[in-house]
Amino acid sequence: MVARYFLYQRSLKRVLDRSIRVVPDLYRKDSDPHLVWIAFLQPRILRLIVTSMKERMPNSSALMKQEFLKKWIKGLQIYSNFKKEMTIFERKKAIKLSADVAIASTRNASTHWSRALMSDVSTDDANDAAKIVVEQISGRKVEKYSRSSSSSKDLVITCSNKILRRSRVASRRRRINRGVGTSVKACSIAKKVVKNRTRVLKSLVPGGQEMDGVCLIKETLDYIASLRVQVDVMRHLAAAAERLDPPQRSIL
Amino acid sequence: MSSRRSRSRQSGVSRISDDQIADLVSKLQQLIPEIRNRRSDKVSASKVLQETCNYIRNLHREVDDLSDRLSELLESTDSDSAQAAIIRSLLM
Repeated sequence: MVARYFLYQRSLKRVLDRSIRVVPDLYRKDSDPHLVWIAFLQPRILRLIVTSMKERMPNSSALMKQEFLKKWIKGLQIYSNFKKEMTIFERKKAIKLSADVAIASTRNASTHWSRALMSDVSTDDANDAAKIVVEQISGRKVEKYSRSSSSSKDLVITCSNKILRRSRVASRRRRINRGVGTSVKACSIAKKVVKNRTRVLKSLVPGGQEMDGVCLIKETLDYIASLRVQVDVMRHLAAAAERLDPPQRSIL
Repeated sequence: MSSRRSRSRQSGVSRISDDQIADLVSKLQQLIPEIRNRRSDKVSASKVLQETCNYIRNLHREVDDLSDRLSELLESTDSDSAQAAIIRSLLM
């Protein structure tokens, strides 16, 4: 696997060297050389990155990785058109935000977490570029994630909470009267632990607060799969970029 | 008797059934590398939830670190290098 990675690096370098030789005149001219670079190199580099990812992880998520990469780069370009000069912090935010929007849009608003993520990004007023990115990439305007659909669920949840509280109090009284053994206690402790952990999970998954048990776990499965795709692609791109342009640590 | 009453109350408010839990927990088990490498039949729900939360937190942190690295790379002032220009033109 390591050898394959080196092969990919070498082939990437070869493409770049070849292209530098082929397009030097245009590059030297003043008329917007970067556009030439982008038009010539971008599809090749993208293809190389995607094929290397496919080789290392041959499964159906390769298509998703391709889609994510394209949308992520599109988002980054929107950002750079919006604001030419960015501080390093702003650039990091732009990268992260574009990645989040891109991975959420690969789901086409078919999951709760993707809808919640898009709505969170676009309702953040401090960031106008973010709204444009979301609209462009998802292809439609994203309003605040409607919580009204879950109002009936809230009613059920409050009812069930009241019932739980009542049954808990009643069972405690009964337990004191009867002195039940440790199995009941262990069971209730385990339930409490599961409840606490579920609460934590809800805070981690976007839009998790509105989900009940089954929905939450299904969304978590999908969310984890998408996060893995996101991390994979970002890792590949960062590694490739570092190989081509090793960061200069001038301080040391 | 108390358990019977509480069980009927549970079904009334559409709680998760045990089968559904078991099915989804097994799916989570397969996704999370930590649990997959251990013995697969003796993992409790709370452990799976805990490992899930840790895994998601790790993934979030990795996205953050990678964004940091990429933003540093793009900040490189060595604009003479053709390769830096390529990367920047690709991403920006």
